[in-house]
Amino acid sequence: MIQFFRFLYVSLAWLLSGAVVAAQLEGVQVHAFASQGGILTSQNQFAGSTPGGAGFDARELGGNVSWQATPDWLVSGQLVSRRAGAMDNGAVRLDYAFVDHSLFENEQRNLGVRVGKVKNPYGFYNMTRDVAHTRAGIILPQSIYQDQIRNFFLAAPGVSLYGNEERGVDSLSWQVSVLHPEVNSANLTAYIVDPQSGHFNGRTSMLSQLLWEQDGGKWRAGLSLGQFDVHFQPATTDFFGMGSFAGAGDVKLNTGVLSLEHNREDWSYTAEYASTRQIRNNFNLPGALAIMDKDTTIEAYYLQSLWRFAPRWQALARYDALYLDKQDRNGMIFSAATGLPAAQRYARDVTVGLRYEPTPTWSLFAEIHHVNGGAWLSKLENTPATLTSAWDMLLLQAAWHF
Amino acid sequence: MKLIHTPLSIRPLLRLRAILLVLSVGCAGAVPAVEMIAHADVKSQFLTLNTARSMFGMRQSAWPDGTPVRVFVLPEHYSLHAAFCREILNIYPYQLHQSWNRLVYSGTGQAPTEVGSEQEMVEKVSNTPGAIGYVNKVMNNDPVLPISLR
Repeated sequence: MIQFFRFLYVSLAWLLSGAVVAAQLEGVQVHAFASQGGILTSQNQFAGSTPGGAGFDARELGGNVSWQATPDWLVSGQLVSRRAGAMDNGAVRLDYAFVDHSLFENEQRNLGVRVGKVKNPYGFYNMTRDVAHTRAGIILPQSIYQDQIRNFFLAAPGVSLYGNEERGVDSLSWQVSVLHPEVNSANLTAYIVDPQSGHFNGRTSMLSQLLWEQDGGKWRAGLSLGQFDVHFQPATTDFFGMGSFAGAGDVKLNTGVLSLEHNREDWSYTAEYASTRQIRNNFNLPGALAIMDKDTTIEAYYLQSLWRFAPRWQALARYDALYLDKQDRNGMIFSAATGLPAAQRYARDVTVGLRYEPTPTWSLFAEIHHVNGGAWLSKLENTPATLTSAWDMLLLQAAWHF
Repeated sequence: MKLIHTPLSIRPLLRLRAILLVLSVGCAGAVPAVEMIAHADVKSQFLTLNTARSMFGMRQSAWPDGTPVRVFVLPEHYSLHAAFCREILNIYPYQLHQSWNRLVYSGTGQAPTEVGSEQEMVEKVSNTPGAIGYVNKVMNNDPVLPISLR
């Protein structure tokens, strides 16, 4: 809570100073967003809920300042604080901060470069995933946009080259980034090597995205491709005594997302499919534990439909599936080898939701999830051995932005 | 010249057809409910649909002569804003707002400036070099440049 107030103070000071600057500088904009959620789960835990009980530990706060100094130069920065149970503690984080320089622009095409901490283009939603108004529901489809490893995928220091090409009434945009992933988080450690003591270091990685929009966005299609390299260094104390990992290891994630969306006046249909090859080297796990160290292909997809059935109202229906090992979708091989629940290896989520916008700056959301499996549940909140396969979740959220 | 005699019984029908023809020509030639406007010094009187979409989508930051583009819009719930999106840009209003949000909260762009009324729109567009906006109908004494799609 102290951190929350500290963030409030820092962000208010930041926004006030931004507003003062805005009054003096042409081309300065200040924006902010906030959300508060309530989560009730029947079993398992998600973002601060308790099994069979409600939690109100899901909160997002953020503010940004941008300065379009000239048509060719843009400077942007955003601070974010997010609370999500054991997954995120509300600490203020620099979300992005970069300089954007347009190298070339005419009516047909443009080309530019961004240097600094830049948001990672991955699928349709990754770049603005913390802002409730930009999401289709309260939480994004967890198969592709897992909240437990969001900080790893969200943004990274690096250099991005981007461009846009107009063809008739269609447009093609692209971005290629060379980046250094920020990976030293408890969430990622729990996700990749279970809660072992040690830390990750990012290595030079690549991410690229191609987006095509037909006739102003009636159809949108995208391909995101990335190669993330991280190195795990076990803690020196007590590590060998625990008998799990024999040494430092490397993980390479080769990932790709195919995205497709069709927008009509009252309906939007979205589908995304992601495949991530996880290549692990040098961990050398002994005996039966070797299965935890095996290279796997993670498969994730969702189908989503949004219905704007009345002014200010929107309904959501979604089917979302995640398999941590494409060769062992039901987790039985994993379960037989480790004795851990198979449910740890898959998750199939059916979601229905409602959204109401009483004013242009406020949104109220409600959604119900019926989930089979717990592959996207954080190990920081759920002990793998006690994971329940079938569970339900009710989420409520109020969100504001300007 | 050979005159064709028209039976009296179908003359009312022909008259009705003539009236409908006049009405339809009148409608086709009517001024659209929304017109794009720009600052009087802007040199491009015609824009392609994609350029108009890029400017209002906040993706094109300068006019061909290098003047910064300044975009003015009415609030989302104004019927004139919805008419502008549908009739001029041929996109749905929610798509335009989604694209602004994607820029604003990823730091890759800025939002347009919102004005509270058509009168303020004309004032802002006429007083801001490089400005572009829209009104229901450009009046003769409005100090702005009407912009058409080509």
